[in-house]
Amino acid sequence: MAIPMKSLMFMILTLGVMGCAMPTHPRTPFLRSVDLVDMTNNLSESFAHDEIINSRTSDDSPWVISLNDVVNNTQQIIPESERWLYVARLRSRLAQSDCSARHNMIWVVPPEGIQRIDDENTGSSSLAEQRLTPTHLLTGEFVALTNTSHTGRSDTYVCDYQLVDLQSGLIVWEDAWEVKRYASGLTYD
Amino acid sequence: MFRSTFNLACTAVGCVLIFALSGCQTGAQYNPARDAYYDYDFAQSCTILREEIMGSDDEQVILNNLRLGMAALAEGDWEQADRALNHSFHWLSTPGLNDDRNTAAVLTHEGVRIWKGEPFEQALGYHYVATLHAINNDWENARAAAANSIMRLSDFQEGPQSYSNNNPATNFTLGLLMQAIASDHASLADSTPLYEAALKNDTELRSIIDALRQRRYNTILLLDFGKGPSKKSFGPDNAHAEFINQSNQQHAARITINKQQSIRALPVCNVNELADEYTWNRFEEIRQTKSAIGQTLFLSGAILAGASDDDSTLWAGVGMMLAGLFSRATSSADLRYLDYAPQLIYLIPLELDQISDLSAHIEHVPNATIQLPAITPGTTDQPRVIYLRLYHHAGPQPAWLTTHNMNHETQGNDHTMTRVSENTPPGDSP
Repeated sequence: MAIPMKSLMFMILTLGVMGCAMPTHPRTPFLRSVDLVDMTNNLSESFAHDEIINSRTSDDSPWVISLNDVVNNTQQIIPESERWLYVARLRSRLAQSDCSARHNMIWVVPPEGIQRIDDENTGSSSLAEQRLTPTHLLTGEFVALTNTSHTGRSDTYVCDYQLVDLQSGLIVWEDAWEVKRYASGLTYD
Repeated sequence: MFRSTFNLACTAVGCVLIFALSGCQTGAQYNPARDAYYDYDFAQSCTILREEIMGSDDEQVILNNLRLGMAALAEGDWEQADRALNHSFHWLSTPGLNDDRNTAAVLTHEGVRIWKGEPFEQALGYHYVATLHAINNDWENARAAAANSIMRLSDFQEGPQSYSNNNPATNFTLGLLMQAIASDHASLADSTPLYEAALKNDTELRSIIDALRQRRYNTILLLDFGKGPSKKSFGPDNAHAEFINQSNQQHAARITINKQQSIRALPVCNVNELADEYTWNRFEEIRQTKSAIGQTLFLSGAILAGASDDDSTLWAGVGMMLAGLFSRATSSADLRYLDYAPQLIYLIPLELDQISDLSAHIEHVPNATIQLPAITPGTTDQPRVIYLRLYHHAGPQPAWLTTHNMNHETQGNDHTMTRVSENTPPGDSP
């Protein structure tokens, strides 16, 4: 008689544990933090080794570079703060190296950030008035080719960055970083 | 001796029956939050749901975050809506979410699976993410979310496909229009194929689609009305489930501007029709089989136990009865559904030339009116998007819904307007 009772208790325990399982870590077809790091590391190297940029010396007239957040043309939600992060990390990688000093490049705060700094600034003059006029703009566009079916989804991302001469419209530097993310499993279940 | 064993066996059957029936309830939950939502008390609904969620990602993570996001949208609490809807977006976009739970769902009950909803509910979930970003004029993310709503319904149809604006093969007109509007304002892609697909779906929407295509608007009203279909179980052991219409209306919305100009708009989405087309019953055959096996086991066990004259046969019969009871109790359908969904969704472009008093009313439906005093329009490039939630209310509408005087700028159903309870003593209102 003891055996069925033990079996019953075991069954109840098993079912209870199965019923209370937590969700597994999600598998995502979206860009992740490792992609941000890898992308900006690679592109900062590309930028630093570019022929046109390397031809500049510290005696050349400075390039005053402003930033735009990346354009999100993917099927992923990228909050505004993250869209800025994708260019901000590239800039900070370049600022940490001596690339900017060697090639006489100056980075200025984008217009979106000026007001925030002005709000903190107790001085008499506005930073917006003193800000150097940019000669170049660093920006990016993320595009994704999304393939979906009921059995899974893949997103191939092309993350394209450009440095644009604001006077001529010339693209001074451009490079792209690509990655494909695939997640299998029923999409709607 | 045999008598005491028989009593013990009966007790065991009773205990397991209680356990099975209580532990495997998969029906709709959180009624207080839903009741508050349908009583126009969106803030209270948010509060209850926030407490229920409290950082736990359990089997209800998508459903509760969608509910919270929709209630927060109606309340005009964008930060709360942002957290909840973006959280649900990532879960909704994860394929194979329940791959490791299907076995448990077959052996026990479907409630162990993470609720992802029917394809139409998922498309609606994405639509509300798009709505949130449209309200914030974040058109890039609005486009992304709307694109996902179309993809989800396309996935449900046959065949793999590459997704772009040029192959919008779906009858989800709302998703097409949301993506078209967002693509236009984000300047990302040609929205013409999307508008054409929407027009092909429903030619009666021509005036709305023309206004959108020609950018003859600076304000967009997204108006949800009524209660969407509910999920009910029926049949032996409640093993069958289907969506039942709670209301079945096709009335137009009428928008009055400054008590002069009147605009009539047809709904761009009827959720009842979506539910008819985009549902599936993956586990229904399994549930029916479990129910049939359970009935057979229970009857066979009862016969065996009744005819037994020794302990071992009795216990074998009791065991079969227990297994049968358990199988039957766990064969009921999962009745979770997106209970905050509306029946009709209107998308109404408006061209306001000044700060205006608006009135929105659903034709032929009493108590389905909202007054929006002193609405500041957006611009052609950055239109203002206003989300509203209405339904047929049995009692009188709350005063804040129909007031003609504003206390603050109105951003949603009830974002910053002051609501004063009838029981509030004078002087206590904020």
